[in-house]
Amino acid sequence: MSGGEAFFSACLQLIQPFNVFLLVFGVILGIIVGVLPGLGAPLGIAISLPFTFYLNPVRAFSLLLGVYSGAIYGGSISAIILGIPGTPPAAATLLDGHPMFKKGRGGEALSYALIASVIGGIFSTICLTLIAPLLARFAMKFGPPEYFALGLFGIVVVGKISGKNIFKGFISGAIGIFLTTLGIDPVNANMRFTFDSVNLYAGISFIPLLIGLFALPEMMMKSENLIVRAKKSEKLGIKMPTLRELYQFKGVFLRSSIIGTIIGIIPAEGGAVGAFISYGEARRTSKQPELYGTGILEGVIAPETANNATIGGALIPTLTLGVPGSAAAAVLLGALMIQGLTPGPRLFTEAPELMYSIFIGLFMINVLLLIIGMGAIRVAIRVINIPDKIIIPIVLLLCFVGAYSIKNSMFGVWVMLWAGLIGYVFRKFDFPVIPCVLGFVLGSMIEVSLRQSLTLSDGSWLIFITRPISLIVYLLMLLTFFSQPLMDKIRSFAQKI
Amino acid sequence: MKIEKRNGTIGLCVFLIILCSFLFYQTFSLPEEMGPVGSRYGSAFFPRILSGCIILSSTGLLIQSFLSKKKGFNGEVITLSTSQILRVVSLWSCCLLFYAAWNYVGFLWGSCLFMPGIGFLLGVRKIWLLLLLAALGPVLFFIFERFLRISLS
Repeated sequence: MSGGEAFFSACLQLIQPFNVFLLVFGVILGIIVGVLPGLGAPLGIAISLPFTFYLNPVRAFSLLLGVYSGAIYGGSISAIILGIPGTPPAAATLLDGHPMFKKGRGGEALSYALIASVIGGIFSTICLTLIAPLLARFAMKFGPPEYFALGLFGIVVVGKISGKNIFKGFISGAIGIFLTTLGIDPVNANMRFTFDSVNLYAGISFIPLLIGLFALPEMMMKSENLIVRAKKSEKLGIKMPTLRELYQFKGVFLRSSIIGTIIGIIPAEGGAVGAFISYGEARRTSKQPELYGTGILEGVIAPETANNATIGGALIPTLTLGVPGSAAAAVLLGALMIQGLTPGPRLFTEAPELMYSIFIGLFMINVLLLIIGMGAIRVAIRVINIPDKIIIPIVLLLCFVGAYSIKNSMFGVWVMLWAGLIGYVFRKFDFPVIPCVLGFVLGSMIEVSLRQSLTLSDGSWLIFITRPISLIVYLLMLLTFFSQPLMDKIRSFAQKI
Repeated sequence: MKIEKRNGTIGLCVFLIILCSFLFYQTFSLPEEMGPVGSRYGSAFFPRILSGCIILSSTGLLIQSFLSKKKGFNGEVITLSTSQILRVVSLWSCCLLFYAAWNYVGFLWGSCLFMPGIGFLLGVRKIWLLLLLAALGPVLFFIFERFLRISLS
């Protein structure tokens, strides 16, 4: 199928009524998931996965991308109204969003947050559309040493910036990679660490592990302190800003979009890091930095633009290299595999229709977000008013369904339960979970490319530094590893919340 | 109950060192391989590197924790009341019971007991709410079995 044919085919599929319904449903579901503190985009996508099994790839990704974008935006609603970020990226929005709400300007904050999310999302989608095909062509030159370097880079970066302690980050990442060695060796087909259990022959599934590490510990921690939130009124006096009013903030929109897109490309926590860096830059370049934190519009616009801009950015390495740019992108990678597709540069030649549908679909999602975002706020406030003791059993049941339905196996549920216990212990003792998830996603690729490289070079380790692309990646890794002041700055921003 | 985070971290590190040492030992039972690089970079190679990395990182964290312990208490404590611990343990145990019940009575009946059970555990006392929670399981079952054609039986 030629590029033009794939483009038109994607357009025709996306404008079908059922597909539009899936986009709208995904966005609303995503906003609801994002509004509920502690759930977040990765879990929202994981819970939505079973709904996509019998859909074709275009429809499946319409739903999942809708959930992704909706969840990232939805986190800002609870950040502004409740003062609790619904998702980690919304923690930066809280800094000025909640003070605005307390001053009676909640409607204004919410409307600007929505516009900022849409602008950031559209900017990064344009970048994704332009950069991804070019990077895919470049990535065709990658061999096993380059893929090993990229995988290692992803783990090192995430291990370094996640959490307060670098040892804990690396242990978490190494455990995630180790879990991929259970089951059949991908190179020699030997059985490893199966302990004669048939269930372990195929290894551990990603989705049950993800649900167990994210959802169960969150529900367990919510059950420790069942907070009864004061009911919030749905009347917020929301009014959309005019184009002239928006034009005043053009600098903030543009800078934050660029920051968010670039941060999204780096395998890391994506939205949260992008939002905080964007907030920091907006404050640093402001003529009145002392006003930040008191409730000003720039303090809402900067992080919200950036955190939605990370969506397109995160999809660039995910689709072209198979290296996820964020935890949510890692789940989307899992979704690609469930659809029988292998992420990487060949995806653009094997499934061009899907690629175009992702690019166009993201545009449509951002337009839909603008149209239904305001109405969705009222639904979101009703959801916020539901007590945790009702939310927890519903989320747990969805987790059971999600873990079981991936392979119609109770073993998935078993994995989820034990991963939940481990995730709870991890969180209690400040071991970050994101490196474990990314380690699991990248582990197979890292092992296969390492062993293939050593086979190609007859056992010589010089192959990893004599290839220019992998050498550049290692230098970037060292730069990231030793750029302590920058990492401390990011961490101190995050820890102020 | 109060647990100093540092002590918990030390305990976890010791556990990881023992576990990874066992897994490292297990790699010696993997079969020998032929080929250009033979067993040197075979099935056992990567797990050995990883278990070694985990052992080294855990040892580093252990040393760091002991050194900071010498400096004195740093104030990081996990404090949980008995009721909180009971609630968390009960929640996880209910999940385990639902897993067991699913195998014997199926998802439909299991969820009808699981949902109101969790709700009651968390403090829901209104009968109509408990019944509503009980009804959600069959609704989800119907959606997945009939519309999405995903078997939950």
